[in-house]
Amino acid sequence: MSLRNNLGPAFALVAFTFLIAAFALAFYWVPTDADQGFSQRIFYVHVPLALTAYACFAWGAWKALRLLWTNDSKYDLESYTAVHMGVIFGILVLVTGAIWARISWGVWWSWGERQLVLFLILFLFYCAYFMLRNSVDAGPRQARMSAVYALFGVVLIPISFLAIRLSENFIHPVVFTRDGPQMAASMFFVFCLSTVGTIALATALYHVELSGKRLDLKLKQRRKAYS
Amino acid sequence: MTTDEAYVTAAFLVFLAVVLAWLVIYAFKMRRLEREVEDMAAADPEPGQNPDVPKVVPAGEADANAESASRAPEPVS
Amino acid sequence: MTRAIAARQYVCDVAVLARKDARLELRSRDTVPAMLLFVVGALVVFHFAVPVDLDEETERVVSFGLLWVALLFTAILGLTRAFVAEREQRLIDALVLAPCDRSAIWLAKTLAVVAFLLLAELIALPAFALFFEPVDGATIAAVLLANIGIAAVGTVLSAVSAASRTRELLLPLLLLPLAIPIIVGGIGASVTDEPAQFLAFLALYDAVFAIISWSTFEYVVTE
Repeated sequence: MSLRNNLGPAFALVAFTFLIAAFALAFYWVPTDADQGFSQRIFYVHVPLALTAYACFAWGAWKALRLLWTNDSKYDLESYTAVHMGVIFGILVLVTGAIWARISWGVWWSWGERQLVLFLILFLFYCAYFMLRNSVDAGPRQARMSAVYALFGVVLIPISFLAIRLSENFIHPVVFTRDGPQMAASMFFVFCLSTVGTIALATALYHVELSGKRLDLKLKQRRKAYS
Repeated sequence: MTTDEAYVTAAFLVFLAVVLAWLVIYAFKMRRLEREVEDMAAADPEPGQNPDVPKVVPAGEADANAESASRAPEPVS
Repeated sequence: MTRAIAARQYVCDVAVLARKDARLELRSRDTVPAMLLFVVGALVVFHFAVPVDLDEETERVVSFGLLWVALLFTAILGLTRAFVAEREQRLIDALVLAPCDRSAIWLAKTLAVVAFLLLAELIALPAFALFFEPVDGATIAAVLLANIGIAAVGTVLSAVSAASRTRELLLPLLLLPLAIPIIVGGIGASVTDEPAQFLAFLALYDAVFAIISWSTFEYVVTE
């Protein structure tokens, strides 16, 4: 057993420790934000989730690039799994963002919140990614098409962000803003703990899911070989 | 508990719930994979007879061979 | 010297392939008339979809929003047909085997799609001016830039959906999230007082996605 084989459990352990610590500290230790009050504490779960989702999409695009580069089919499953993780965490961003909007502004959805709108676009985009994978027969061509689409996605993230900022010129002025309050050192510390924990959790899930998908694929190939 | 606190708790619980839901889905998937392996083992009771696994394997290398065979599954006619 | 020859060869390939698309369209007359009819029909439908008693400024903004939605859907309609001939006659396999750069296929098809879009807009913009609001220069510039972006991305995705089991069903799903920035740029250029930044944004989108589409098309069409 090499260290490489134990990466999943190691990340799971890190995720467990850091997330428990971060969430306990977020509830009982950090000072309450002067402007937003108690509700600001959603920040410690919402923003790390968003960062993790971006990281997953970027990782998926990197693996997609490697696939096109080397034509090695093992990158296909890695890219797919990373995008899958990104979508799971993206849904969490949407849900926690909706809850935050409800507390702060009394509505479940606000088009004035850039990150939330961006995640809605990304959610649509990556759902189409799954549609694409489902409607093409498995094989090297499916892998390459998915890889190309995943690359489009990672380019779409900054472009869409820019588009959302620009659209505020004509859709409506930004009424709500969350920037501004300076983070105290203790707040930043808990935020970092939570971010590391969430990314470690995503990595652990990624490893488990990847080995599950590999196992599935191997079984399928075996069955085809025997029948 | 104030409304604020309830919403914040809800946000953290949603996180937990999604991870747990993932776990449940994965448990089902694992169960399915396990059953498939069992089916295959039942259909092919003597893995030593497979053409792609050498018949006589020195005791220490048995695991390594099985692993490499499953890693690169050549089509077996 | 050899580079110059290669570049000339590339341009010739693109010209031949684009001419093939134009000739196919001239003979069959499938796509462009459908796009024309669709865009005018969409504008008429939109007239009935908007409440009548809006104030002038709101009506202007809403009308341009409808114009951009109509143009986007018309483009999608045209793009779903982009690779139909190639697929039905198995021509795409021959094209991929042909001794030309695969990106030349993309460039030629993109040029053809842009040409079809221009034809559709030649009718759509005057019709819009007649039915709704006068069209200014910024809108025309934005439409021209948006054509390039939609055609560049759409050609790759059209090739993808042509190879899928669900065929035409897949293209709108793949394209709509990618088209949101184009819509933002287009509407911004049409309705705001400073269209320059939106035109610049559209140009940026075109450049970025043209490069990535040009370089990845090969991976989509090869078996």
